[in-house]
Amino acid sequence: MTPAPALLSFLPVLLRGAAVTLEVTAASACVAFLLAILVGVARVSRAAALRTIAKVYIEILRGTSALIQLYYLFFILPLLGIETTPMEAAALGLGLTFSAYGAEIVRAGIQGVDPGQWDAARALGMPHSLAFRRVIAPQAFASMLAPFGNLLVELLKSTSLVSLITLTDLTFSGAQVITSTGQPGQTWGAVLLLYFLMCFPLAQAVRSLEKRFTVYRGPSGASNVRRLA
Amino acid sequence: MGRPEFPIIQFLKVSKWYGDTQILEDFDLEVKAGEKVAIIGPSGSGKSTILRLLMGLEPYQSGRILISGNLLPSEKESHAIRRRPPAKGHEVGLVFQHFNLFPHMTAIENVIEAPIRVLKLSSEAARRRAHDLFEKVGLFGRDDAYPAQLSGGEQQRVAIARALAMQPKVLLFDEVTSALDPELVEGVLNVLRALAAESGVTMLVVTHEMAFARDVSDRVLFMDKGKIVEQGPPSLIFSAPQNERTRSFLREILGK
Amino acid sequence: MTFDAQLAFRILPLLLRGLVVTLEATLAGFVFALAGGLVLALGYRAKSWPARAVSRSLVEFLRNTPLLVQLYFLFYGLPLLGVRFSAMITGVLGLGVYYSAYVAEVYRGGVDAVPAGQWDAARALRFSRAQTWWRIILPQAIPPVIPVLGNYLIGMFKETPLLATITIPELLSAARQVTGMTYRYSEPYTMVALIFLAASYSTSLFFRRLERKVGTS
Repeated sequence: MTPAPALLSFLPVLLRGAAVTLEVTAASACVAFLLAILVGVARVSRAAALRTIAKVYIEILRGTSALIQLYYLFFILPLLGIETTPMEAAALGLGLTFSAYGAEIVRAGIQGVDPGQWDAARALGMPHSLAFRRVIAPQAFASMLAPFGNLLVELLKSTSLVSLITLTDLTFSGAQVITSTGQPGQTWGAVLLLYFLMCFPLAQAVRSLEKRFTVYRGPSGASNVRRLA
Repeated sequence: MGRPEFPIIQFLKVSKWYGDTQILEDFDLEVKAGEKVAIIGPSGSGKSTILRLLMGLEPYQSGRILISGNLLPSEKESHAIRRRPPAKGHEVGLVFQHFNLFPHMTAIENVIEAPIRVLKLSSEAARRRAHDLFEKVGLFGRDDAYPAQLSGGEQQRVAIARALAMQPKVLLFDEVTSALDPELVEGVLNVLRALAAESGVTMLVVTHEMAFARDVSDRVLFMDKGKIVEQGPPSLIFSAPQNERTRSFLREILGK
Repeated sequence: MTFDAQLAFRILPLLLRGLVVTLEATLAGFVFALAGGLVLALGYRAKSWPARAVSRSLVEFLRNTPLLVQLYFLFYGLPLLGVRFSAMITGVLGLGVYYSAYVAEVYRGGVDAVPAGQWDAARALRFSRAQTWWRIILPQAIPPVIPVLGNYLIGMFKETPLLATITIPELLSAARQVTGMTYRYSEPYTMVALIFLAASYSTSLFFRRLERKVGTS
C-alpha cells in the first residue's frame, strides 16, 4: 500500500478537524478545571453537607460512561427546553465527566500534604483559612500538576467522542475524508498519527514539569536529615 | 503578668483517650512562669501528648487545662461552641521533632510568615526580628535557602527561630534532636541551653538527652503510662531517684 | 417532557440483553489486556534492544491515541489485509490492545516496587531468568496492584459504548434501537446511565474493599 496522493491532498481537512479537537479540549478543560477545584475543596471541607454533596457528584459522574453523558446532554437537554450548540454540549459533557476525576486529584493533593504542616501552622497561631491558603494549598498544588497534566491528555483523546454528536473534530474529519478517498486503513492511520502528534508532546511536557516541581521541594521537608553535613 | 508564683500552666485531673486507649489518666501538673521543665520517659508514656494538648493540636476528654489562667476547652466544650480551640499561637510555641518547616518557603519566609499574617507585623519589622533570631540560633547566610537545601541541624534552628518569632510565653520542645544525625545534636542542644539561660520564657522540653536535661532544667518529670511517676530537681532525679521504675529507666538509657 | 416509567420498565429486557454483550466484551477484553500487558511489561525489561524499543514505542503510541480511532482502524483496516474477524472479536481486540498499554504500566509499577534485594538474592541462588520472574518477582509484584487493575476493569466497562460504533450490539446500541423504535430519548438513555452507575459503583466498592485488605498486608 503506497500512500495515495489523494490522502495528502485531504490533509488540510484533517488539520481543520484537529483544530476543532484542540478547541473542544480547551473549552472542556476550563469547565473541568474550575469544577474540579470547587468540588475537590468541598470534598475535604469541614462541613459534612458539602462533603456529601461532593462525594455524590464525584461518584455519579465517575460511575457513568463519558459517551453516555455526552448523548444525554445532546439529546435530552433540548427536550428540557435548553438549546445548546454541539460545541457547548461537548464542553459541558466532557467538562462534567472530567471534573469528577479532577476533583479526586484535588482531594488527593490536599490530603497528601504532610499533616505536620497543619500542626506547624496551628502552632504558629494561624487560623484554618490562613493555614490552608498559605501553607497547604501551595503544596497541594505542586503535587497536582502532574496528575492534571495526564488528565488533560486523556481529555484530548476523549474528544474523539464528540464526532458522534456531529462535531467536526479530527475523528469526524477522518470519516469525511474516507468517503472521498475510500482508503479507511490509511486515513485512520493518519488520524492516529495526528492524535499522537498532539498528545505525545503534551505528555512529555507534563513529565518535565513534574520533574521541575519536585526538584525544589526535595524529599518532603521532614526527613531531610541525612542529606547534607 | 502579675504574680510570679501564679502557675502559667495548669493540668487539673486531665484524662485523654485516643479511641479506646487511655493516653493520660487524671494527669496533674503545675508549671510556674519562667520555669524550665524537662520531661523524660519511655515512648508511649504520653510525654508528647502533653505538649500537643497544650498547643491545641489534640482534644482532651476530661479535666481542665489552663494557660495563664485561661481555660483551654475540652473536646465536649469545643463541640458545643462548634469550633476547635483556637491555637494559642502567641502564648505557646512548639518546636517539632520533624521540624515541619514549610517546604515551599525559604528559611526567612518560614520565620516571617506568621508574624506578618497573624501578629500583623510589617514586613520590615518581621524581617528584622527574623535576622535577630537567626543570629541567636546561630544561622548565618541561609536566609534564602529552601528547607530541602538545609541540613537537619539548620532546619531545626529555623524551626526554633520560627517559634520564637511569635514571642511566646511558653516554649514547648518535642524531642527536637531525636531526628538528627548524631553529630548535629549538640549544636541544637547548645541553642536550647542558651535560650534557657538568658530568657524568662517558660520551657517544657521532652527529651532523651539526659545530660542536657540535667544542665538546663529546674525540674524533671519522669512519665510512664500516662502518669507522672516521679518529679523533682535534676540533682535528685538523676543522682538519687526514689522510684524503682525511674531507676530502671535511667539505667537503660544511660547504660548505653 | 415526561418520563414514562412504564416504558422504562418495558424496555429493560432489551437493554439487559445488550448489557450481557457489554459484560462479555469487557471480560474478554480484560483478559486480553492482562495477557497483553504482561507481554509488553516483559518486553520493557527485555535483554535485546529492539524488543525494548518496540515495547516502549507501542505503549507510547497506544496511550497517546484515542480508543475510538484505534477501533475504527482495526475494524475498517484489518479486512484490507485479508483478515476477516467478526465485529465482536475486533472490538475485544481493540479494547484489549489499548488497555494492555495501561496494564503494562501497572505491572511495571508493581515490579519496580519489589525491593532490589530480591533480584540480588535470586541471582545469588542461581535462579534462571524465567524462574526469577515466575517464582520470586511476580508473586510479590502482582497482589498490591490488583486494586489498580480493578480500576482499569471498570474503566474498560465504561468505554464499551464505543463498541456500538463498530456494530457490536452492546448496551448503548440497544438503547439506540429503542430510540429508533419509540422516538423517546429520556427513558432509554436514563436507564442506560443508571445501569452503568449501578454496575460500576458496586464494582468499585468491591475493589475499594479489596484495596483496604491488601493495604493492611
